[in-house]
Amino acid sequence: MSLTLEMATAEDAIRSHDTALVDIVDGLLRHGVVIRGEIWLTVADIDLVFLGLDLLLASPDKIRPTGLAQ
Amino acid sequence: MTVLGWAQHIAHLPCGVQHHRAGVWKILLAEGKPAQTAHDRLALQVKCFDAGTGFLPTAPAKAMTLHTAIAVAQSQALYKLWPQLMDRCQFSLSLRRATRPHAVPDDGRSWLLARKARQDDQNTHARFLTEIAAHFTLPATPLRQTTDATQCDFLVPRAHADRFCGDIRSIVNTMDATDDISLSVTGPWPPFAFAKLAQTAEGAA
Repeated sequence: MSLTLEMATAEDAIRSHDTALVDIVDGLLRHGVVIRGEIWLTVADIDLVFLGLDLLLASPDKIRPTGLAQ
Repeated sequence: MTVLGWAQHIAHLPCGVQHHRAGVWKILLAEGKPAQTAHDRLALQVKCFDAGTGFLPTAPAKAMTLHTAIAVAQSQALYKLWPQLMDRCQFSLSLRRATRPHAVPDDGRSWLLARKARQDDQNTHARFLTEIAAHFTLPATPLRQTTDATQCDFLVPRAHADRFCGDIRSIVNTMDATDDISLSVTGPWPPFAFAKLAQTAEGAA
């Protein structure tokens, strides 16, 4: 029983087909600067409605019904 | 054109990348067709970063228009983020079983047992990553679980990247595992997991 360590550069990870590294790269794709829209509708300086807009992006196998069931 | 991120000082841009000036910011753009994949954008962002350009990257999976990038450059959000991320890089740690132990369940009982085993794995991996993180005072993301792995990211000064890798090696050498576990350390990346900003807008009715 052991804890093994694998080090890889960013370039190695992008080119790799190793499941562990592909997993990491897929996680990175969702990070970074994104725009989250927040809109307040106000009347006479009174906040009435708040709209929070987020964009969900996922690969087809994650969003089709069989993917959801897994 | 595909937006890659924002920089203030450009040391050297790799082939295929140009910039558009927006005040004190330079918006990095991929030349050529805009219909690039997220992986293409990620690869170009890493090339910019490796070339010595400190920048705030966009999320590769979410294409941003130049118009939006200019609007972001004119906001205060980038100014607040920049001091925290300038000259910083990201290392991503991922813990998983070295072998795939669980057969595909073919009945309800084995499905429940597989779920229980996976939960036990995740708890073990989370404990290991928490133990590793305790050795550092660096900013880190909360742990996140994928199907097979537990991951987190560290924000490391670029000048200390080699030292961070050495520290990880030393820490791993002192740790004992009851199962075969694999720790993947990748980086340095641009600080994707720490480049977060929200743009707010107000509308009056």
